[in-house]
Amino acid sequence: MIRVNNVIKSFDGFPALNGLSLNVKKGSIYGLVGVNGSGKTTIIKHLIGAYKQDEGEVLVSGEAIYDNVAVKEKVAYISDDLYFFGLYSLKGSAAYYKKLYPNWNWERYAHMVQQFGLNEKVKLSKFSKGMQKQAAFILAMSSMPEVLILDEPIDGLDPLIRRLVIKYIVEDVAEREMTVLVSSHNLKEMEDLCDSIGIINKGQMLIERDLDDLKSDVHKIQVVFPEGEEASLEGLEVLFREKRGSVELFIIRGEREKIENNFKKSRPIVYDLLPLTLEEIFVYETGGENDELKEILF
Amino acid sequence: MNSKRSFSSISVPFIVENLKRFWIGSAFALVGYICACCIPLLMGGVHNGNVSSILRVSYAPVVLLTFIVPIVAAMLIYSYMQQQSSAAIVHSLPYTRKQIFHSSFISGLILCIVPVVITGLILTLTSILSEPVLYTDFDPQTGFFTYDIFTPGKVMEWMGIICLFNAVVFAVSAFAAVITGSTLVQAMLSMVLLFIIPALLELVSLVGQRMLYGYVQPEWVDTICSYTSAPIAMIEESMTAVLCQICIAFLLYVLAYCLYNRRHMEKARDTLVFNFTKPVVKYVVAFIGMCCFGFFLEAFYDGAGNNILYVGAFIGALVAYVASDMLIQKRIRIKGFVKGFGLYFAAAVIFFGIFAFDIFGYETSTPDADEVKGVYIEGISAEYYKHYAMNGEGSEGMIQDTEAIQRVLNLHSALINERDTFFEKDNSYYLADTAEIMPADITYTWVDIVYVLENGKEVKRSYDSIPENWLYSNEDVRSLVESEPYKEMIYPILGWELEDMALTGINLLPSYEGDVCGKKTVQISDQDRMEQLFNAYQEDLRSLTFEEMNISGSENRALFTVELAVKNSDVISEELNKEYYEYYGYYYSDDHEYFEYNVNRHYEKTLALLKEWGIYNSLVVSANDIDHMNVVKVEIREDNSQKEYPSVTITDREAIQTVLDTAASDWYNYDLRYEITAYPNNRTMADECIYLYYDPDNVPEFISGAF
Repeated sequence: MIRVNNVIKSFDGFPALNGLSLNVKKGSIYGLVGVNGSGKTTIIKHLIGAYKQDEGEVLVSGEAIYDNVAVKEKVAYISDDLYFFGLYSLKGSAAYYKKLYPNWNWERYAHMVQQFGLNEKVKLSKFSKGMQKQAAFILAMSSMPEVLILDEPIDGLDPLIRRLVIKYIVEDVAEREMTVLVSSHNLKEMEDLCDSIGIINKGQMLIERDLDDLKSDVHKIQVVFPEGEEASLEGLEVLFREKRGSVELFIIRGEREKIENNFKKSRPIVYDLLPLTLEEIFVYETGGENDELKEILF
Repeated sequence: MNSKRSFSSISVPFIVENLKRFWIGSAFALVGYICACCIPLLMGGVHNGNVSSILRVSYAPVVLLTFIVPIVAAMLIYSYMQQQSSAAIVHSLPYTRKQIFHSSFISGLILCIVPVVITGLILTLTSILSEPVLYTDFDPQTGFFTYDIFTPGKVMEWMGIICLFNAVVFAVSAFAAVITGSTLVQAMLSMVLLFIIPALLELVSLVGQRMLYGYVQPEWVDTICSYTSAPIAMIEESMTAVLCQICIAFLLYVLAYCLYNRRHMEKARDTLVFNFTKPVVKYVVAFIGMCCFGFFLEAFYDGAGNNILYVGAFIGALVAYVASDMLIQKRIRIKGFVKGFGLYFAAAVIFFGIFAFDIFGYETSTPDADEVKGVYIEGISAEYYKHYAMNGEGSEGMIQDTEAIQRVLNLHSALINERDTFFEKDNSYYLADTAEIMPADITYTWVDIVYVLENGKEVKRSYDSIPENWLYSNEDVRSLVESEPYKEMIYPILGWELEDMALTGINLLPSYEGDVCGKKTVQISDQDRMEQLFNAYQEDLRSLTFEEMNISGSENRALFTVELAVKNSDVISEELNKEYYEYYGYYYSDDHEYFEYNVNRHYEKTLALLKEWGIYNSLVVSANDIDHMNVVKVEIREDNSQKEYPSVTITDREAIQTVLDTAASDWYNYDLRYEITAYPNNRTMADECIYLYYDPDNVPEFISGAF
């Protein structure tokens, strides 16, 4: 649904995007992670058609989005840095969006306004930052986009509203196959929401993975073997191994049953399958020695 | 429906949204227009003076509003571009850049024009409801006629022109918005762009005037100034300039659109968003700083010469360049200073070099004699008005005689060749009034020359601070001034043939002195005497020598005035003329036209004729008309106090006649002079006296010796 190929963008000679590529599948939620200044907002501004790349291509639904009204009508964007049209109320903004987006849905709008508990007649400029984010979310979701792009969306929202926002996103992804790209500098925020993750740094994609595959494929095992016994690692892909006294820690890629069978052959005294955080998965995925990645993740 | 709207060039929702947001700016403008145009009518009444002033395009409050409202409108409309967040949001909406640009432009135009249209409608309504505001004019063929100057049509015409100027200023501001990344810089640049071409041309011209000997600002400079600046065009009310403004507005609109499509939205908040504009702005600012500070410093050191000018120019350019570059780069330690300023410095050296070394030969070139059709020359005799021909008013009296043209060319060459002997300091003529560089014992004068070439072009030169003694001793000047073509230029009467004129009478009008002595106008209507007098006067003019034409002081005192009464060939009907008189209190055209010429003591044939006819003494003041004279010596000390002398009374007839013949009507020496009050017979009041003066160099011995 979204395809970015080798995009290069410089600001007065400073390379903001340096051959960046990313792919977002239709009906998936893609988490774009990176530290401040890594290029997240820059690529997002390309994805919404505000910026034009120096080189490469930015495609949404197979078409370049820059200056393409037909594609822009399918895309909704919520910025980190909110900008509302001066004197508009939520209702006024909705009326304006209705004129712009062909799939605008008044029913959903009314329902969301009620659920979020916002006063649609008050000027948006009088709202708190959190309320403005909710308003922006209502407007974006009511336009029934095929692609939703969220730049740091969760900041400033209380947990209840955050849950509500996620619920709407997940529902639309499930029911309408909406494609979502979310940016954040915090990988933990993405863990429960995203299907796939891309981590960028200095304008380049460091790593891009499908989370389901990752989580089912990589395992953290803590074992203690009787003296003289060793783990049988035949046929297993060990990403990381560490021994502290008698306790050994393994990060292994592979099927869980196969790993368990292998280990149990050596009759361990202790065998624990520990939960892996997304950060750990990414670190071990990349060999555990990627300093850049560690810097981003921890 | 949405798709259809999306693919057009203009987005109605975008325009509506802009109007919803910024209507308040338009409302303020409307209040301004109402205060400027409607309130004066309500307060002062709908009358001729009020209406004609308000509906004038150059009406100052409207000019001001036309200058401010579009700039503010552009600041509001394009504010989205100058913030990264808003620029991103607006460009993420389903609009094309084309739609955003055109819709923004139309929104801004509506904001500017609506207040004008509403004001126009209010004025139209007022014009319909009020009594006609009649303006009376006169046609020599049909007589008086009146017309209403406050009609809906006139108001609509006013409205159209004001809307047009609003559009022009808005187009300039829109262009400024597209190339800048900050609302403040956009506003500043809008104002600068409205005046930049006239400002640059005037500065270059000022440099020419300062550095080129004989420089005259070309006429096209003024023309271009009014064509390229909307406020100047409005003030001058030139329709040609209006048409030019329409073209400029259209060009700027197209240019702004092309640039908008290339504008990177991430450049919002940069001072200038296009790299190619940065050196242009820096160099223009540096040029203005260079010229202004150069002239300032030179004026400060009062004619100290070119070196001070160059030092000032360098400092001005440096400061202006650095300041503008700091503003553009938004940092104190600017990058690329050496290269950028080095290039500018080289260009500035070439610029000043062109003037200082006269690369194009402006100072030294004179036209070839065979390509000159005619010439106007002024300043070589005391009889002409300065810069008469320079201002394009000298269509009559052009010298076309080959010999006279050659003499002008000779004089021109001499002025060029002698340049270095005229001025002690390099190029000091520009500040020629400065006492330090002009010795007090030398009188300076000026010479203007305008060549009209065979191809219709004109070559103009103006020379100031030419030593009078040099000029008046120049043989070509002397021969030229005494030549028939020159005299015909300065005395048009010489070209008149008596048989071609319907001369009906000659009046001899006494001078002021004659007036207070009771002399009366003498009328000559006898055809034979008129012819004799006319011929004698022409002969006197033809025989005037160079010295006689350049006299001053006593010799130039008019003894009386000859007034020629010529029947007016272009006279209107008696009835219409009477009507005109009743309306204005004077006649539209008299039966006669009157031409007046002074006569001084060098007009020997004329004076002889009057003496022969016995009317000289009844016209010209003599000792017999004076009772006595009081003489006061005025001497001013160094501390500016006046030294007291007792006054001297003259009663001797011969001495009185000598004073009447030799005293001047003005004095030139402030420090020492003799003031004479002549009391006519039976007159004692101050306003009935004659006041005459002597400077110390020409006072008769019997007066100077009396103190």
